[in-house]
Amino acid sequence: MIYLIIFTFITFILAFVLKLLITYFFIKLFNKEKSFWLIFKPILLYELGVFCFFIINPVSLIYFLVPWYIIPHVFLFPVYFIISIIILFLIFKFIMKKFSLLDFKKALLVFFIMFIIITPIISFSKSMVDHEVAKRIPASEELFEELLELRYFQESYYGLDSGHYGLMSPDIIILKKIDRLSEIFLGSKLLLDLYSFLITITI
Amino acid sequence: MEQTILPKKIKIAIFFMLAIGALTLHQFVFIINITKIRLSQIAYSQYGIFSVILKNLEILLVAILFIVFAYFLKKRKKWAWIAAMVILLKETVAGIKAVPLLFSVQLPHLGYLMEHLPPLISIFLLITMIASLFSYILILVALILLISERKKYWQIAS
Repeated sequence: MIYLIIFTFITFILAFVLKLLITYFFIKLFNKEKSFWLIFKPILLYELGVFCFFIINPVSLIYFLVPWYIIPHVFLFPVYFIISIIILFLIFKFIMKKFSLLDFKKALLVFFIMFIIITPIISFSKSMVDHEVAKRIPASEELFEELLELRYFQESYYGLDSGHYGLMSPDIIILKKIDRLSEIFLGSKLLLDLYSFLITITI
Repeated sequence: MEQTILPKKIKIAIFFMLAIGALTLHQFVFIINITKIRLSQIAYSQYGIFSVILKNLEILLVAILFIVFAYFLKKRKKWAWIAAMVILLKETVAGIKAVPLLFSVQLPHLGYLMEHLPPLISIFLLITMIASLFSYILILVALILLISERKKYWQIAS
């Protein structure tokens, strides 16, 4: 199982570096005379801003401020999604303007190409590769069973948090932490939520 | 060069951040201890204390970060002010999110837990709940103090 953890971590790092390089390439298209570090530094700063934003996650407060019996939570998701994207774009635009790299239209173009096309492809490819490798490891069947058991326990005893510590193996905890990093840096959480939302409203 | 004296409100905020760090550290130690006792009683304890520490690593990390940021705030670093704001805002949002859970699950079960848990754990549980509430008040006050004194701090920070 340790190999699966190392492999998942390596794919996460590779996917993240790929995302950084593609963003660098897009910005470089509009700033051919700028040096590598002058473009790469703002990209890293933007990722730091995204990290801070998702760590605080202030937009998720709308789920707690609006009671579910007034507006069901599933209908609040578009609001959450749109506000999150606007804030992420504002962080991107602010940094790009501060370093005089892109104007509003170019920043909008690069941001949406990255957010709508590139990041989902990278994120999806990473998940596919992870899944393909996990299928070939015999111990991963036990891992999935354990995850199902854990989910059942969490649903049955919601809120009684200390109860299920004994059920979680260290491997699962580490994998969950790597997943959390992927959610933040590869934007997979917002996209997965969007997918669930679309499934819910179409059904 | 002689350093300018820190504003009194910033000094209070730094003290509060140290106190929050200490309280969070206490919370971490409490969770480890109480789960250790529970794991020894429950049949499905197959992974032991290592899982519990890993699961609660974030609490330990937050406690250490509070103390580290407080130290660098005292050293007049600009980045420490931003980092302190991020961590305080994170904890404020997490506190607001915890309110529904507190009223719907934790408080209704408190009486039952107090009756059925060993007396020592009950007392610890009560102390931790009060400590959490107290640290949340400290977080809010430190946040307000740091925001209100931002101009003075940024003038003297490097």
